[in-house]
Amino acid sequence: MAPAMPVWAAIIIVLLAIFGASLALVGAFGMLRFRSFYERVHPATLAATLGATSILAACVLYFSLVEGRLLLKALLPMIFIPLVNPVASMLLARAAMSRDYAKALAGQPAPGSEDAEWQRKASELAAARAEAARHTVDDEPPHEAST
Amino acid sequence: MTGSAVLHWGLLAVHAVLAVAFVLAAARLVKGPRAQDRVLAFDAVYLNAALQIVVFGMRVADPGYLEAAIVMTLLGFTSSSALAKFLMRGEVIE
Repeated sequence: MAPAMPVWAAIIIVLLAIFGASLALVGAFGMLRFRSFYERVHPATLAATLGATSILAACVLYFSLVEGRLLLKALLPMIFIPLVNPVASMLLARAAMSRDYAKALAGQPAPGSEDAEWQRKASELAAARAEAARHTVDDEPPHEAST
Repeated sequence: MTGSAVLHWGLLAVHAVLAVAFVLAAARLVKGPRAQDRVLAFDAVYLNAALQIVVFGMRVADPGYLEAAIVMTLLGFTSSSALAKFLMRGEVIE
C-alpha cells in the first residue's frame, strides 16, 4: 500500500503518470494502425520521449516526497530514455531505407510490401542513379555510393 | 479520500493503460510484415515493460526498482541498435 501523502501531491503524481501512460497507449495504437513502416516510426517515439519523461517526473516527485529529500535517481532514466530511444529509431529507419533501396535497385519489390509509394520513389531513384552511372567518364574512378 | 488511496488507485489505472499499450505493441510484433516492423515493435514492448517496472516501484515505494528499469532500457537500446546494424549490413560485428 502506498505511504501517506498530501492529496494535492498524490493528484499531481497520478495525473503526470496517467498522462505519460496514455501517451504510450496512443503511440502503441498508432504503431498498430499506420500502414507503412516509415509512418510507424513516428508514433513509436511518442512513448519514448514525452511519455517516459512525464512518468519519470512523477517518479522524481513521488520519491522526493516519500524520502523527505530530493531523490534524483529517477532523473537518470528521465534523461537517458528520451536521448537514446530516438537514436535507435533513427538507426532502424536508416537500415530499413537502405534495405528498401537495395531491393528497388535489384528490381524486386518486397513481396506483400505495403510501402508502395516508397517502392516507386526508390525505383525512380535507382533508375536515375543508373542513368548517371552511364554518363560517367571512363577514366574517372566510378563513384561508389556507400551501402 | 486520502492521498494514499488516490495514489493506489491512480497507479493501478496507470498499470492498466500501460498493459493495453504493451498488448498493442506486441500485436504489431506478431503481425509486423517485415523485420524492421518487428524490431520497432520490440523497442516499444521493452519500453512499456520498463515503464511498468517504474510504476510498480512507485506503488510499493521502493526506489530500487528504478535501477532495474535503467538496466532494462540500456539493454533494450543495445539490442535494438544491434538489430538495426544487422538489418543494414547482414552481420553485427564486422
